[in-house]
Amino acid sequence: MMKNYSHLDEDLLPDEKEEYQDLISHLTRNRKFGLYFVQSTPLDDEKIITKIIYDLPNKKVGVLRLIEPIDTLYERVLELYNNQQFDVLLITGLEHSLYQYEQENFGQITEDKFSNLTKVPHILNHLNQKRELFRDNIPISFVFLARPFLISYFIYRAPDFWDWRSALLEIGSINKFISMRKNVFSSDCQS
Amino acid sequence: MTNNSELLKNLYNAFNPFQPLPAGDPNYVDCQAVRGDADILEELGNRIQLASQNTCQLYSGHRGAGKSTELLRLKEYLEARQCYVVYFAADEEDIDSEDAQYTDILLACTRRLLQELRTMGNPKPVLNWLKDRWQDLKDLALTEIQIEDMNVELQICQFAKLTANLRAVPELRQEIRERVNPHTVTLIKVLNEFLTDVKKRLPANCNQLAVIVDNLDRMVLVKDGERTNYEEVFLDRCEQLKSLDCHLIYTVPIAMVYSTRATDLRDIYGDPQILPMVMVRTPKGEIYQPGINKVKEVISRRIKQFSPNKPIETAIFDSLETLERLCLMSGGHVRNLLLLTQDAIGRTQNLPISERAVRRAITQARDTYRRAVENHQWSLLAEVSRSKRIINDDQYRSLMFNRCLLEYRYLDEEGEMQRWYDIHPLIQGIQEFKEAIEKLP
Repeated sequence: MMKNYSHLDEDLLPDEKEEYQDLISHLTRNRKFGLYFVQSTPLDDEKIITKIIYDLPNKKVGVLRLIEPIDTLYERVLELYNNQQFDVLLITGLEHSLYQYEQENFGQITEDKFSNLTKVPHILNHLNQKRELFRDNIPISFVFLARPFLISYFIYRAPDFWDWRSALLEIGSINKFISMRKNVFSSDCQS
Repeated sequence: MTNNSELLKNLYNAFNPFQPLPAGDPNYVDCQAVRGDADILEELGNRIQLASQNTCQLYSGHRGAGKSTELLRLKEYLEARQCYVVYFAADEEDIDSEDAQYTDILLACTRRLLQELRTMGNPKPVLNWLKDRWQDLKDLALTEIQIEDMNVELQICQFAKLTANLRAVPELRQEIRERVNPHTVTLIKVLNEFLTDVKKRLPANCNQLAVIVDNLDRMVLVKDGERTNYEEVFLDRCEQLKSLDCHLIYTVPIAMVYSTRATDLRDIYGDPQILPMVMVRTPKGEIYQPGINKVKEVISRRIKQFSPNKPIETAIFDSLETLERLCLMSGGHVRNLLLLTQDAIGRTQNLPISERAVRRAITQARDTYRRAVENHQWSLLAEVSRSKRIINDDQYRSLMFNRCLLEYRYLDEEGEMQRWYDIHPLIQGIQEFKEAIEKLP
């Protein structure tokens, strides 16, 4: 049955440093539109953001911190992009939209309704729909810092958007390798 | 910047997974022979060419397998054979693929046909239909202007506003449908009057009109009790879907083609044409070298535009084995291949791309499949990996939709087309799958 089984069927798990370095390589090399997902913990998000900004000195990096649920993103990002012309946009806080979706539709937040076929979260529907516009009008690297359940939501409920990704990188505890300088550039777009 | 890092940048950007190739693109590789001789030009194109009356055909395949690329080729092929073709991607401007119903598709077709053919035929019948409905619809197009005060261009624009709102404003969607629904039959009637006029005025070198509606297969499955949105569109409203007075090609979700309603679908539209994967293994699990060679060609075409002289199997990849393993792990699925290759390049600091970089890209891609399978589905996957068959059953539907199950085809020694199925090769290494295999009787 498993006669074609090879060592490539075994997962090769990277250490955090290697995975982070790969993220930087991806972002350094990408010239136009690109979708990247970073699976991280809320505690590490800010450290990762600061470090990415420091490690991409030749790229203009913007940060969009979402602190409340949203239904749409395209128009807001387009405006930011037109004003700031960044090369990379780091986005955190999309989980708030999913929390609201679960609360409104299922009465509680469980982080596990991604395989429910009766509904689609507005924001994922929006991203799935607008992907051509993101690609054609905002030709930058989008980096979503996300929790595992949010990644699952993308896989199940925004499959076409997810299918356009260039990479998913899992960065666990960044403290192991982090070394940062202060006063790094940030074009924060605090929401 | 060294030449090596510039080359890595160029290669990285050559493998973007989100752009269908336009017809005639030098990166296009004809994979017909290793897709079981599946040829869209022959199967869909010739049927239109030979038909004495309008045809309505369905085209399907896995997401990212190359359907849009193939449909753009078909468009060019038909155009070279006296057929005027209107092609549009339904979800780009008109349809919300997460919540699409038949009315949305009809309005999208109306808008696109008006937009593309308005100078060829007289759009008056359709615009008169809009005028008759205007009191009912103008608030939904979010305008107060009287339609009588508009010129033809502006009137046509109102359709665009309606479909734009249908797509972008979920609160208006249901209302637009409810107001248009009772009038779909008359809308088709006037649209056909317009098409009849257009057909009389086609360019001198054209004698047929065809419409290709792409990306309807992106409709996300939504279940309401036992009913699905797929059934509403492709079965309940089939008469209307087929009734436009021209040749029609609709893309259909692959999950619908393999649902319990597959027979109904076939009865209505004939056999849907499905774009299978490139066969990289035989049903017995042996490596199928012609398929591997084609997949390698997909990679090498993109590399050679930036590095025409370096040997791919030693200078770009660290060995032939690394390259071939990458090809095998794609399952013969083009977008997976692009993703794996781009991710491996992203994980490479210096050429050649190492086995380690490829393995790490594979590990990450495998994770999507691990997450996409629900607990009760592992045993189904294990069964298919053994039997290489599926039945038209709803329990396979989502596994086809999310590409955990792939379709392959080949011509046997008698020249008969054989169809078979397998799990995506990335699944083979997942622990839950291995356990399900062990539990098989």
